[in-house]
Amino acid sequence: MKRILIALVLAIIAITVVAPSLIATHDPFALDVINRLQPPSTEHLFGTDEAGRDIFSRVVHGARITIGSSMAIVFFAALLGTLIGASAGWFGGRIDSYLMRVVDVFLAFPYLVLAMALAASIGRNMGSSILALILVWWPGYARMVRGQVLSIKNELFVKASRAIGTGNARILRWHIVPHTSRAVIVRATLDIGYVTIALTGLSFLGLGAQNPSPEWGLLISNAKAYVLFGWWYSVLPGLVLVGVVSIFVVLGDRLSKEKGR
Amino acid sequence: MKNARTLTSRSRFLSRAARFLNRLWWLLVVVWTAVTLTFVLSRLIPADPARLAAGLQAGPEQVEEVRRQLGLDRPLLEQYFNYLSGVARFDLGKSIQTRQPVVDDIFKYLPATLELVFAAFITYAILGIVFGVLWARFPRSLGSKALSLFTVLGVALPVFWIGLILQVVFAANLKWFPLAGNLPYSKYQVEFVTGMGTVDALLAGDIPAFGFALKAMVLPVTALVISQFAVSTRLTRSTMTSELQKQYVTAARARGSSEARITIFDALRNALNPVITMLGLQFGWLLGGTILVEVVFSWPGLGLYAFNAFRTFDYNPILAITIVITITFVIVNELVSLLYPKLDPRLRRQ
Amino acid sequence: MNPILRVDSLQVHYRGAPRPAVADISFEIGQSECLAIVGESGSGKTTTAMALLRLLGPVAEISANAITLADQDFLNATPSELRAFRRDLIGTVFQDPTANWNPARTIGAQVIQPFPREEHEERRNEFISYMERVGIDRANLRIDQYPHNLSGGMLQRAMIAGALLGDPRLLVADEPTSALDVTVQADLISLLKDLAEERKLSMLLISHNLAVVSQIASKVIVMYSGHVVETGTTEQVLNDPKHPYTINLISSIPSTKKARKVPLYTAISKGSASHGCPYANRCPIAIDPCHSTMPTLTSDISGSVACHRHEETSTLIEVQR
Repeated sequence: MKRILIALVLAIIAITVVAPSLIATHDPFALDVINRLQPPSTEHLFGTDEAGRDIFSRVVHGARITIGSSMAIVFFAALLGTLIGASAGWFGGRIDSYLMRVVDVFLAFPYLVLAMALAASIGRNMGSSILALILVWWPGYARMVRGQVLSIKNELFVKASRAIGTGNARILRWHIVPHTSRAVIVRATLDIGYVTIALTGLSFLGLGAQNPSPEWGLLISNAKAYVLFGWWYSVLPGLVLVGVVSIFVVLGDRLSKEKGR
Repeated sequence: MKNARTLTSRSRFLSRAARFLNRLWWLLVVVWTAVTLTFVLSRLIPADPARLAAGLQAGPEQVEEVRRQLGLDRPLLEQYFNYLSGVARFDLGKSIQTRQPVVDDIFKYLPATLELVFAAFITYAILGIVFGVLWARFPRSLGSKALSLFTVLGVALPVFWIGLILQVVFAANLKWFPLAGNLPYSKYQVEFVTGMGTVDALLAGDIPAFGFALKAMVLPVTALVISQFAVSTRLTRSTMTSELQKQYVTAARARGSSEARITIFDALRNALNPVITMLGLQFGWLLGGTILVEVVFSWPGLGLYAFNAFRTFDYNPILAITIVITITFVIVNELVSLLYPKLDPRLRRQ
Repeated sequence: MNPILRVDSLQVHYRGAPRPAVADISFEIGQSECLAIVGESGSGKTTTAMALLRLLGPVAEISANAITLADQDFLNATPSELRAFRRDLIGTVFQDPTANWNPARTIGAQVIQPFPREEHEERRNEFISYMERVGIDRANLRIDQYPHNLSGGMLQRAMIAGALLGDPRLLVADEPTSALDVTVQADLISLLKDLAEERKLSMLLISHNLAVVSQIASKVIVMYSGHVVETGTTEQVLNDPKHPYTINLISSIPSTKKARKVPLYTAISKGSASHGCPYANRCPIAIDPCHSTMPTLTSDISGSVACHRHEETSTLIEVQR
C-alpha cells in the first residue's frame, strides 16, 4: 500500500518537473497587481503574491527548477565522487593518499562560503550555486565508494578473478560496480532531499536563482517581506518544500533497509 | 641500561613533535588553499569594485583615485602577495561598506555569532544524544514512534523557513519574543564589551537586560536546533542500536549488570565515536545555518556581515570570512580527531 | 542434597518460526555435578542455556512448568531478582573471547560493574586472585588492561575468573573452548575441571565436542533439532549409545581404528516432517512410524532415549570407534 502511495507521489513529482504546465493553473509570470496578496481560494489555490501572481502555479513551475537542479547536482556529484573514490580505492598507494587529501579539504567545507565565492566571481545565478553544491557534495561519495572498493578488493572472489587474469576494467564492471551502486543509489536518493535544502537556502540568500524565477528558495525569500500581510505566501510553499524533501528522505530510508544493509 | 631508556623516551618525544608539526603544516596548507582560491575567484568578478567603492555618483577621476588607494591598479600577482603578507600581519584590508579595517569588524561581529553557535551546538548535541539513546533503548515506546516521525520531518525542514515560521508565530503574532536583533545596547544602556548580549548584560550587572538578551536568542537558536537535531538523534540511535546487539552486551547482562548501566557505560562508550565524528562534520552545516538565521532575524553577527559584504561585492570581508571559517573548521576537525584515542582505547599508542 | 538447578519442561519458541527452537527439555543438576548438553549447530543446545539465563531477547517466547535455582523460583523471577541471580549464583563463560568483551573498557571495570559501589575495592582484589588462580600472570597489571592487550586464551581465562566472582553455585559454559587452539583447549578444560572440584561448583556445559564432554561431564543430554533424543551418564551415552543420532555422533569421532562400514547418511536434513521424529530423514533404520509419530522419551535406570526402535538399535547399527 505504501509502495503505491510513494510511486504515485513520485509520478506527480516527475510530471511537475517535466511538464509543469499540465498541473499549474495559471501562468507563473502573469502579473495581476489588482489582486495582489489575496488569500487562498478556489481561483488561486495558494493565494497570490505581491504582484498578483498565482502562488500555486509558481510553486509548480518552481519545482522544475528546484528539484531538477537538485537532481542534476546529485547526479554529477555522485558521478565525480564515485570515479574519484573508486580510483583511489582501487589503485591505492600514492594516488589514494593524494586524492583523499583533496577529499579531506572539501569534505567539511561549508557550502555557503564556497557558493558565495563562486557567486562573487561567476555571477549570481543557478549555475554558480549548482557548481558550488556539486563541489561540496562529491567528497561524500568519494569516501563512501573508496571504502566499499577497499573492502571488496580483498574479497576472495576478486582475488580469484585477478588470478585467472581478468582485466581491471572487467573486474570493475562486473564486481565492483554492482556492489557499490546500491549504496550510491541509496545515498543519492537521500541527497536529493538534502541538496534541495541547501539549494533553496542559497537562493534565499540571493546567491542562486534571481527574480522573477519561481525557484522555491527565492519564493520564500520574497515572502519574507510580506510575512505580516500574507501567511500563505511563506507557509504554503514551505510546506510543499518540506513535503517533497521528506519524500526523498523516506524513500532513501526505505531503500536502505530493503537492500539489506 | 640507562642510556637505552633515555633514548626511547627522547625518540618518543621527537615523534610526537613531528606529528604535531605535521598537523600544523597541514592546517597551513588548507588555509592557504582556501585563501588563494577565494582570492582568485574574487578577482575574476565582472563588476568593478573600485567603482562600487567610490559610489555611483563618482566621476572617472575619483574612481581612478579609489582604485589607486585600494591597490587595484597593481598587477594581479603583486596584489596577491600584498594580500598574503597582509594576512600574515593580521591586516585583512578595509571593508568598503563599513569603512573599517576588516579585522576590527570581525572581532566586533564574531562574538554574537559564537553566542548562537555555541548555544545551538550544545543544545542539539545533548538533545540528540539523550533522545537517540532513549530511542534505541525503548524502540517500541510511544515516544520513539513520535521521534521517528519528527526526525524525518526535522531533516526536511530548511532552517530559514523554520526561522521564518517561528518569527511569524512567536514574535509577530504571540509577541513572546523579539522580532529581530539581539540586545539593543543603547536602549538598555549596556556597555559593548564582548559583543555577546548575554555576557555584556551580565558584566554590567543588568538583569533585565540579560533576560532580554536571552529571550532574543531563543528563536534563532531554536531554528538552528530544530534543523540539526534530527541528524544527531538519528545517528545516535542507529549506532546505539547496533552496539546494543553486540555480544559483549549479552555478556555484560549475564554478569548481572543493570540495563541502565549497560546502556550508558558499555554501549554508549562505543557508540559515541561515530556520533562525535558526525557532530564535527555537522559543524559545517551549523555555520551555514547560522548565516541564514542571522539574515532572518537580523542578528548582528558574522553571518549578516558576510551577507551584506557579499551583496555589495565588498570582497575584503568575504576573503577574511573565508579564512576565519576555514581555520575554524580545521581546528574543529583536529579537536575531533584528538578525541578518538580517548574514546577508543585500541587507537591509543602504548 | 537438593539439586542446584531444576528445569521442568522448558520450551522455547521464536515468534513466527514454524517449529519450536527447544521442544521440551527437563533436567536436574546436582551439587558438584556437571551436565553436558551436546548436539550439532541448530540442535537447540545453546538456545536452552540462553533461554535459561533469560538472555534471548523479546523475540523468544519461553515457557516451563518450573525452573528452580538453589531452591528459589527462577522462572518467575523479577528483573532485579534475575540480575541478583546472574551476579551471585551463576557464572557464565561464552564462546568467543574477543567478541564478549567491551573493547572500550578495561577488563577489570567490566567484570566489577554489576557489584555495588561499596564492594568494588574488595571485588577488585578478588578478581585479581582469581585471575592468578586461572593462570594469568601479572594479574594486578592485567586487570587494568584493555581486551585488545590480551590473547584469546588469556581473555577466556579472564572470563572464567570473572565468572567466579561472587562465588557462584552454577557455572554455565557455552562452547568455552571452541574458539581456541587445540593446545589451549586442553589446558582450559583441565582448569575448569580443577575449579569445579575445588569449589564444589555445578556446571552446565554446552558443547559439540565429545572429547571435552567426556573429560568433564558426568551426565549428558543429546539434542537434535530442538528435541531431546537421549540422556544418561557420560559413560553410558558414550560407550553404549541407544539413539541412532547419538551413535552417529560417537562414530564420527575420528579414531585410528578401522573405517566405518555402516552407511550413515551424512546429508544435511531439510525441515523434517512436522509430526514424526526429527531425525527420521537421516536415520539409517527409520521405518514408517518414525515419519509419522513423534517418539516419546522412554526412561529406565541408566537414562532415557526417544526412539521407536530403541531396543534394537544396538544390534542394527554397529558403533565404529
